[in-house]
Amino acid sequence: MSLLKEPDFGTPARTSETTVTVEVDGHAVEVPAGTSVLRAAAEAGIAIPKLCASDNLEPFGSCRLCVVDIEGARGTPASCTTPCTDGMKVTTQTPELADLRRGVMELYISDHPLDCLTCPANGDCELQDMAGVVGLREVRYGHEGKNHLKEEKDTSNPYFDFDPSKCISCSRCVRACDEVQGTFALTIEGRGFDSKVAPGGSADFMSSECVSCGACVQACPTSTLQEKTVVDLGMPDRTVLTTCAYCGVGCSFKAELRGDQLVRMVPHKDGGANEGHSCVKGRFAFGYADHPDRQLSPMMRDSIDDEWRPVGWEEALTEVARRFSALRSEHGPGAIGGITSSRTTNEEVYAVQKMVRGAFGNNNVDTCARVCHSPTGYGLNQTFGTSAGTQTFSSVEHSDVIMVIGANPTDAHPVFASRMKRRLRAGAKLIVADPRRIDLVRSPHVEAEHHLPLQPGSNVALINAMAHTVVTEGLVDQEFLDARCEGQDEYLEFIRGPENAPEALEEVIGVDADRIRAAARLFATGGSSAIYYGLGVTEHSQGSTMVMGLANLAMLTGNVGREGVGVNPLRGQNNVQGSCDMGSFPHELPGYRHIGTESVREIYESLWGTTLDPDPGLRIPNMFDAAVDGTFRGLFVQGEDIAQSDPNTHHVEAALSALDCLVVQDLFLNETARFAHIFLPGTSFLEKDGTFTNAERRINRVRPTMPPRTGKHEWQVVAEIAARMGFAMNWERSADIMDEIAATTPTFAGVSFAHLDRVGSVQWPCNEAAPLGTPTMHVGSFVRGKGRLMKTVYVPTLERSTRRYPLILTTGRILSQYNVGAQTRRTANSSWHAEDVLEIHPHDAEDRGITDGALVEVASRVGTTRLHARISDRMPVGVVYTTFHHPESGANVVTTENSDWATNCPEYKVTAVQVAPALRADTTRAGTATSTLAPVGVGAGE
Amino acid sequence: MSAAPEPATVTPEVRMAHEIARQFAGEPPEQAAQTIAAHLRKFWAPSMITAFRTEAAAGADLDPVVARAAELLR
Repeated sequence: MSLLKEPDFGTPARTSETTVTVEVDGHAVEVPAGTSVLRAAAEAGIAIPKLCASDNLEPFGSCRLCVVDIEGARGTPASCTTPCTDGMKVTTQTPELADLRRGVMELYISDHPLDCLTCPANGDCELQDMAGVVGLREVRYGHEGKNHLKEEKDTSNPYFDFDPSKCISCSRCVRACDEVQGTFALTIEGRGFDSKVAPGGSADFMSSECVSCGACVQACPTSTLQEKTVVDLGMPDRTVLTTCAYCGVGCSFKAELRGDQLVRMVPHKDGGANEGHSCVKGRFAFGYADHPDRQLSPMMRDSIDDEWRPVGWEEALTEVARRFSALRSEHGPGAIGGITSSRTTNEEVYAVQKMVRGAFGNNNVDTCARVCHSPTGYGLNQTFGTSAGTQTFSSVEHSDVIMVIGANPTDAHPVFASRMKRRLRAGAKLIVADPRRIDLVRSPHVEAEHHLPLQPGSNVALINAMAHTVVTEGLVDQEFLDARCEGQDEYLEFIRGPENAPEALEEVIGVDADRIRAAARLFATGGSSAIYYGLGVTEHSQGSTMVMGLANLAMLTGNVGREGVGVNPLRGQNNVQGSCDMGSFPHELPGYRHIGTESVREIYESLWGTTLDPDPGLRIPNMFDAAVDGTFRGLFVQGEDIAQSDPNTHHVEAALSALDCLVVQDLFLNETARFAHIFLPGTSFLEKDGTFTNAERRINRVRPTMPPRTGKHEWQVVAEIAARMGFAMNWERSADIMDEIAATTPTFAGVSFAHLDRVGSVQWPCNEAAPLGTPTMHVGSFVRGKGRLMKTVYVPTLERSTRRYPLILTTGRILSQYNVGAQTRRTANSSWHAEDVLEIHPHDAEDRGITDGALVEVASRVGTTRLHARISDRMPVGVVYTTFHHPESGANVVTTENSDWATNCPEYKVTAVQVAPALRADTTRAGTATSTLAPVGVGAGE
Repeated sequence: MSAAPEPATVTPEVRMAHEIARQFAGEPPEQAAQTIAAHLRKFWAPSMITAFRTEAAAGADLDPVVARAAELLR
């Protein structure tokens, strides 16, 4: 399509039960009460000139271009700040109004460079447009007077420039930072003529609080804030609507191109997940797609000690099929398997699981969600009947109490965090349960009512203590429980037990009982209460138990099945929900139906013309164990870097080294590819044609901006391997795959590319009963009928601090980097986070003689690595923290084999470690038995 | 319920079975064993169940509830 310019109605839409009718230039318009005159006119198709107004910002009334005449009113009010009243008569064009607007424009232009022809915003400048609209023909004041034309440009940000000489002080950037992003990094400094936009009290944007979300750039009506890519490449000339390839928020973007060259990514206003907002990753960090490290042709080698040899597709695919077929024949079908990725589309995931089940002949297919949200699948399935978040993101706008536990949305899900913060600024109460004092606990105009800095590993104790409080203090929503839930008697008897009282558990949790009780009371009585959680819930030995505990609390308090409430997993990667939906768990076919269910198997057996193995296959950690013991010999890995992302790196590397055939399909030669025999190049999101499903179950189209640079889509590669192994997967295009998914999966029955192109996006279930999807789940009844209260006995993890390893290491993510960093490390995002660091409390640092920035060695019972220390009082004493975005630091060298009891999701969040100043200077990871760790006042034994 | 054996000294299947058993330590032993066996049938590959049963039959140091779960998998 040509360049898509979305209409701007000037001020935000209002919702009201009453409407008013106004007459604008003789046209009657009916709008909700509270709607501005500017917006009412726009809805009638009448464009009133404007500069400081935008429909994603509250009206400001500064530019005075949108002045109108209102019958019976004095003067010429600004239409943006004037609400419609019933019967109001508005005139937008008169000679007097034209004079006023020209006068305003004259003043603006008298202090604006007249370099339109060479300006990067030429053709996309609202100031230029307005000059034309008001018929500006002269500037009587000249440019000789006092002006800002020599203001120095700030080019410190890697993605956009700030040119104050072009600023018209409309405050749109400041308001976007405040209202849309919620960071409050920008301000207007000075008064009158001296007023200017400034990044807080900082010298430049890069050293300020700015998080580079791009909201200010998008809001700027001139070229004051301008993407560097536009400066370098010029204005784009066409748009492809697509979906971000980063986190589980799944933002919709306009990929704006000049020919085949991507110029910029602009968040789409109609995107259901993001509604026009973005973060630094989705907005700017797309340069990895044409990074020189990108591999575009297949490669092979006989041994992992050999050099790679580029080969053609035909040779590579034939060899993959030959090797897997040989392993299947020699060692049985159980000797091979595949891993799908949450960074690939639903169609690509579906293709891999079909290849494994149909061509490999087993269920040895697993997905990277194994190591993040598999406990969500188990826990929500047990309690609610399906593995999915209950709400739509916009539901948070109706929440009165928001509980965030084990999640750090401002870093990991920033666009949703902005939405949440908007609601918090409007008065909702916040409970944060996290060992760290994450940014949400206290940020501009947001302060948590309760921060519960619980000890890592005590989640279930906390949720039980909260539920105990609710039950024993008579705060249960009995009507909801009686009507909607089962298992009451057994659960209530369990949770009432004195062992679940906050007073009994406060020592374990590390939070005073009265604070736990206060938080529980607020959650139960504060109105509509919602739970948002992340990997701090799931990546524990009791991850599944904790998910059930959260569901219990929601059911006890009647907080399921309507807007503003619910249990909401914040998914890490863009298609975690989708990869789980698509049957890439070894015990489930698409739609979370167990492989042992004959009637479900028959659907696929009939369509695929084969017989399916009725037993579950191996999970990822089981594959590693089996590889080490020699029973698992061949693995296909699409889009995941398991050597970096999975725990206990030495065990993973031992497993990968033991394989006879490892096939890696990826954009880059990642850490896993070091052990591969065949490398198949993958496509970036700019080349993919398919769908992603985000954390709110929203199925969004991923549209290609160019053909695959590798020559083949991933699903084509997979289908061709399967065909060479004797199993046909006859799809002509990716839309055919979604058609097959819809034909076989009841929750996707109404989904097709054509339908998504028509309606934008849908949230599953999408079927005949809900053709436009289902924003809120479990309304009226749960998917499983009655919600099921589950006993959640607190069982402490076996991973405990000892004399030898006295600290607990917990891991997480940071705003600018994403997962293993394969994408973001190949962008300027590394300007903000060039390496992983170890956050440590000042007390723990002082005890060990560690200074800020010092190189330290982190040792657990399975491995040792080195990081630079960052001393931070947001850590509690006894807990240290790092991220896993850089392979050099190898955070997972120290994480252990411990995992969630139900799903084997690794216990990333609890590893007992010791930290000491490093005796060697290099920052590469040390390995298993090479610790140089100096004892810190403890004996060698435990 | 005794603590699970040290990870380094047991097979992954035995270690994981004990991790599951710890969650049901408060249940009557037979009920716990049945729950564990049902969980393994639903989520474990047959090769893992076979390995687990083989370990049990070979006299691995198992908690009684875990041992009973292994019996139920026959």
